[in-house]
Amino acid sequence: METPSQTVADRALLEAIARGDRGAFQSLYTRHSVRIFRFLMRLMQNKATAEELVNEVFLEIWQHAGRYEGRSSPTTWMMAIAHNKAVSGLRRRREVTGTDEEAAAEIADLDDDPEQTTQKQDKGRIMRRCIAALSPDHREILDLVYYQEMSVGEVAEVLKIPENTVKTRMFYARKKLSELLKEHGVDRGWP
Amino acid sequence: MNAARNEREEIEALLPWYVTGKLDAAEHRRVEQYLAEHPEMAPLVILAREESDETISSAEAFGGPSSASFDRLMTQVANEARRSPTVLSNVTQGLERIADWIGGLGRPQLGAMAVAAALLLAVQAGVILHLASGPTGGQSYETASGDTETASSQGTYALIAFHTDATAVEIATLLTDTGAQIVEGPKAGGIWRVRIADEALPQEEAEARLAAFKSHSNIVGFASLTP
Repeated sequence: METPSQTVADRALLEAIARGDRGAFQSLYTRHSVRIFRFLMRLMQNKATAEELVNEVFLEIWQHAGRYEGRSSPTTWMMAIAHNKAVSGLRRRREVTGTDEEAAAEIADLDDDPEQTTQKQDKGRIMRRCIAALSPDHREILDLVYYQEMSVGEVAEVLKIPENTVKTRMFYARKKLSELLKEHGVDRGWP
Repeated sequence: MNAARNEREEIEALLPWYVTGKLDAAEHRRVEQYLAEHPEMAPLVILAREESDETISSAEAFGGPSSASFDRLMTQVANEARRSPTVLSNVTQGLERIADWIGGLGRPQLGAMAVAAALLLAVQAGVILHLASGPTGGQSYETASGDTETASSQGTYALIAFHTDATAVEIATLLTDTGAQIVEGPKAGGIWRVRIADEALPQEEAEARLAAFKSHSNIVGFASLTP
């Protein structure tokens, strides 16, 4: 997540974008596109779809930067847009395929790598595979907390759910992760 | 007994934010104190750290959006800019002010609402007509300052094509670092018209500015000054 000075800079960029400043738009894209892409990739598990949604997010920012009211940080505001795009994307996928999940998930490290033989590397590989196998809701909250480094309050704002629900959802995501790990031979002894 | 269990569950629930340093000071102290008093909880902190490490590691493996994706976005933005969003925004704000004014009317004044509604319809019709008319002759576009200008405006411009294997962030970073802005494109061959200076530079200075672009040969495939 951002430092206070980055937040101030992003607010200034959004103000400039609201006036039609394409240079500010490029700067904002530079600062946030990778992080948003990775969040969407986590949820959609397909590069083409994630890229398409990133563009939808930034196009919405271009069109509606003037609606940013400063009640939350720019990052939280943008991640909420990304969350909404992902929800719509998953709904469209469900309507077409009957499932939330990509038929052939493009998740790195799903295949066995014969060079990764140490126990620690194996455990990491299995954990990444199990994270990818979680439901979209559970993958999303792990990403928001661990990769996006959002506080309970920020996650609540992005997902528009109460803070207690954030904690509960995170608990169940971790519990499910433990269960999947156990099925793959890694018993964490928790919960 | 229940209270002790509840407290343990509350602390467990906070551990993900404890390891990312995202608890407020009071909660952080509370978790620290509990962990100090309950050393058997230490393995749970390690579990949360492992989850964090692998979530970050898998996110990094996703890479970033491609340059082709950035091209598509900037094309969409250029198209959107031609629709002059600032005009729409200004009119929308005007409509909101009218709506506020109507909201402030007392009961005796409500009769005036019919007039206000008619006014709203008239303004909306004006917006629709403005948007439907589009840019004049396709020669104007929205610039960085938000003002509509013609293709012959002041400034120094270049035609630039980016390598297809350059990432979107590399291109955006180069544009940002050099203070350049895409103003049109892409044309045939993936060539963009880019404003490389806000003012019309002398030839020598313009070529030096262009050379700075060309020096990023891993990102820029072609660059040439253009009027």
